[in-house]
Amino acid sequence: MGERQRTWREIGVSNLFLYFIMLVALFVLSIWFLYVGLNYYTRGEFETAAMMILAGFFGSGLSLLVLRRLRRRMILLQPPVLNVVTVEQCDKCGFKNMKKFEHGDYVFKKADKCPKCGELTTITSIYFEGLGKKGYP
Amino acid sequence: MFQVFQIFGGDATQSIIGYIISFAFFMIFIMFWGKIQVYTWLREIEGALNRIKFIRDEARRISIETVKSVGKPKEDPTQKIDQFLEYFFIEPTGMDPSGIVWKFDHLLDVRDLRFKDEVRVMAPEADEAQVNNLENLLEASLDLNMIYKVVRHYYLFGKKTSSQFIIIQLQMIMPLIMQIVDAYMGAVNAFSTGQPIGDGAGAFVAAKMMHGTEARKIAKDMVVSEVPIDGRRVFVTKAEGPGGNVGKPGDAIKTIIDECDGKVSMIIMIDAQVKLEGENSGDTAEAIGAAIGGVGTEKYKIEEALFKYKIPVNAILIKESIQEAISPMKKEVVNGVEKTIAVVKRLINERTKPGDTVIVAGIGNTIGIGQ
Repeated sequence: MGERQRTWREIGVSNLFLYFIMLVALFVLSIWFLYVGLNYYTRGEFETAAMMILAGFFGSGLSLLVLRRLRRRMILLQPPVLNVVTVEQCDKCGFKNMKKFEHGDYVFKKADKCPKCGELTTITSIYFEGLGKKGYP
Repeated sequence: MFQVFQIFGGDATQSIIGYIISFAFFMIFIMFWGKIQVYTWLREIEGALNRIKFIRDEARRISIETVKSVGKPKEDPTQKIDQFLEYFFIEPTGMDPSGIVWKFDHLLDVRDLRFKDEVRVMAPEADEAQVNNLENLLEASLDLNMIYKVVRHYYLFGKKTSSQFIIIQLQMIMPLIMQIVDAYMGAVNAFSTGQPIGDGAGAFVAAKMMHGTEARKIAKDMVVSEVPIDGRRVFVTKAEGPGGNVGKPGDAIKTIIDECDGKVSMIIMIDAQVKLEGENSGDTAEAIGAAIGGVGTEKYKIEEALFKYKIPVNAILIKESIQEAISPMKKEVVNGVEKTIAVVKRLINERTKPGDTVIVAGIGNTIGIGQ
């Protein structure tokens, strides 16, 4: 656990958090600019309103774009979750069973007893079905 | 506070200030655009480098944990593992190319022996298959460490010299490097648990064909079975599983040919092939020639034996991406294995007569695949 904490610090998670706070602050400020801009517009000060609305749109767009990139970067830093399955098959009755891969499984290893005929099943295949919720592409 | 926005549209003095500021901005961009661009590229490389470092550290952590859980060492193996991750291979000189294949072969044998000895010391309780898996795991971690150090070298060198050419080259190849790094992380996961990897597709075909028959050792880390198919005598060979192993297919094929006094009608080699973008994983392609990767020593031995006895060689390739080749085997590749067995049988029927002798060699890492 200590190892993991040190690793996260090394990759600059605290810096990323500060960056995140700054982006959220920029987004809030941009929304406020939009609000003030609309107020100017209703008062008939079109030139100032245009400037404020433009700044608001630009700031909110930029912060959302960078936040999206930051989120992608954080997802890429997650360790992979791989769904690997083991297929067991009974040589006698052909019964097939799929289960989660366990350490020590290998193809053509004699596995559990067949629930239908009681013969030992054989692992016929092990494959990777897809990624879990988070992981490398 | 908002007067700053009005300087462009105010009186004459304010307009002049506005023009001066605009002109100053324009000049700064003209003069420092190159520097800004270099800074942006460096930031992108730095982000990717941080990720490589994170993955390298994860691989190291997984290696240490796996060695501890499988090998049950009495002492902490961390120092030995850190030392292992710094190993590298010195290639023989190519100044006099005559005989270089055998020099390479010898050095690769020495490397393999040395690595396995190191693993046995680190993990005294591990059996032979686990030693092979641990060796593969440590090699994947070693490669990740090497990639990190090389990328870091060019990043720091580019930064130090402010050379746009070094920085832009590194920035341009970063997506390719990141794909390889991700694939290696997949390999680390597979090797730590003993899961079959995409590269083992050829070995999987051979294992399926020889399953249920008696297998015997034929060369270093290689097994062979005699399988009768439609009246033909078919020798099926692969690396000895289920430990992570590629074996010496060149030696195995040469020994089988010698045992048959050169009377072999055809050799079929099955291997994984790196697909092109747009091609589907698990698709098969037929080819002529020795289908085997690596440094080239095994390919050389096979071609020498084929040429000596004028034996035709056919190949069946199972397509997959470079990432899939070293990550846990995908379902599409397993489906490709089934299709390949049918192609092997068709080739044997079409190109040989009953009573002929055929060699089928399943090439690739046999991790997680028995026989």
